[in-house]
Amino acid sequence: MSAPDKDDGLDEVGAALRERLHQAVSGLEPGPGTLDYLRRAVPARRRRRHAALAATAVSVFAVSAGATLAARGSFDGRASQANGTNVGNLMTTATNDAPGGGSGRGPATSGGQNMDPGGSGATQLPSSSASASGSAKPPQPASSPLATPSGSQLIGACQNSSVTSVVATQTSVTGGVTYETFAGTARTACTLAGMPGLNVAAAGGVSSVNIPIYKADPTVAPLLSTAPGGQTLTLLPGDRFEFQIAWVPQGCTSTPPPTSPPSSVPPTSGTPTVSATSSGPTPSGPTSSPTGHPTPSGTPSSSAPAPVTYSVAYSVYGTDLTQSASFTASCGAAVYVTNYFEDQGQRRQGQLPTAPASGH
Amino acid sequence: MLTSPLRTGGALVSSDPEAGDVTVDLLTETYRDHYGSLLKLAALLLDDLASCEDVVQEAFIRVHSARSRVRDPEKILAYLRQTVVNLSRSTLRRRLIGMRLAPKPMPDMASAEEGAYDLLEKDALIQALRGIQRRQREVLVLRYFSDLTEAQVADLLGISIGSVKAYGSRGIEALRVRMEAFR
Repeated sequence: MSAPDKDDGLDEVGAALRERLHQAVSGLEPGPGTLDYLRRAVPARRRRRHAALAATAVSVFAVSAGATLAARGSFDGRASQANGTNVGNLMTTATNDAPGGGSGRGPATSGGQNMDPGGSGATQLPSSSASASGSAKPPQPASSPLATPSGSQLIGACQNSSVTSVVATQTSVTGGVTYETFAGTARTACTLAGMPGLNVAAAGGVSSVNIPIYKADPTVAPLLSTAPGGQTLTLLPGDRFEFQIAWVPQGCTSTPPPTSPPSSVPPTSGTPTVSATSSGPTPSGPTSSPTGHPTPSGTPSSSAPAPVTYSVAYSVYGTDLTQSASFTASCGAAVYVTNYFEDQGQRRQGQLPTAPASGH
Repeated sequence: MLTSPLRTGGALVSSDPEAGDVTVDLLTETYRDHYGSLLKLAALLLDDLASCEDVVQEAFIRVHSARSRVRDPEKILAYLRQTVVNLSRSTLRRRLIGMRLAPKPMPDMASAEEGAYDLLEKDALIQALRGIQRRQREVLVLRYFSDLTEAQVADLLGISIGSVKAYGSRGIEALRVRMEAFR
């Protein structure tokens, strides 16, 4: 049999098979209501498919979120157990005033490492500033991270960016001592501790190295008492804080001014103890007080130099000045400053500073 | 006659002038055009009408519920045919396992669907077709009932064209032997 004959035979068989197959199932018809069933079943199947997909997505998200939270929780737990090296310390010790620096709660490794150079660089700033200009720049205390009342969030030290509207108000002038109150409002939750950082600069190029800054001494200038004293002040957004300074001019005498801060000032990291160590121009010796502080008891001589205007500037953190107040003195002065305390208007009005206890 | 198909909102809509310009969705159009032929295809691959209906309906539901993944609407028939073949295989495989595990029926016990399948049961070709190998049956049905080319059959079954030719020729020979045995 040749190939064409074979193909013809297959074609005949195929045609017959095709006809027989169609004939065998020709009587089959779809059942009644099949189309209606399909119209209901297709959307239902689609809904079930979407619901299954959504449930799967939600489950995956929940599992991944839970795993992430668990990982972060265990990481934070380990970090908080390491004394002095946890996230909050790294961020709060940084004294650069980068936006958001120290007030956030970023990842421990990246945030801490980023802030560390700023912190190490800025820790040398107060001493160098004091040696150059003779003014005190108390270092910001390296407060440990605090928890909110709920205990769920760490609060870093206040930065300049986290404090707004610092106002300096001259409260009174008594016995030659000028009392100035600085008040500010927290923009974000942060903490303040110890004494505020002050910077004294003289106008007209006059050196201000003879303007030491002391901790508040009631025997010299009765400043407002801080209550509770020595504690870290935790500010929430909108909370107000205050501190008060006393400007105590010195008398123009031949006695050199004290060159070292009194021993009663604790040289802790939270309180500024930097003072001018170089001798000032024609210093006038104050009369000695019981604690050794200079008091404004000196009487200016007839040959006293002209009054010089000094500017006492306040910075929450770093070197960017936030607010300043101007004072005058002919032969130098001393600044006494309180710790930070909460704004309590009633208490301030009831405790207006009185005359200095000694020296007049 | 369906003319000028348009895509609106993800569904293929076409006007049917003979039906009074009635718009029908893709499901209805596919049902009208292909449901009968797919049902007959399943009847040739399977051995009972109830399973054929189930298989074709499941194929319609699967393809149309995942219609967003069908890029070319022209290929819906191919998807449906492929699904029918796959589901028919699964049904036969499941039935074979069930027959092995289930107890044998009593000799005088009549099947529940016996009356419904009288037409198919009486056809000698259908009986002979059920007696040949599954691959040979699939090739013969797709080649001579669905009028697919050898290449299309090979693509649908996932085998080579040579295998299609071999299964086809051997299937025809096996069918001839069985048909002569019935006479």
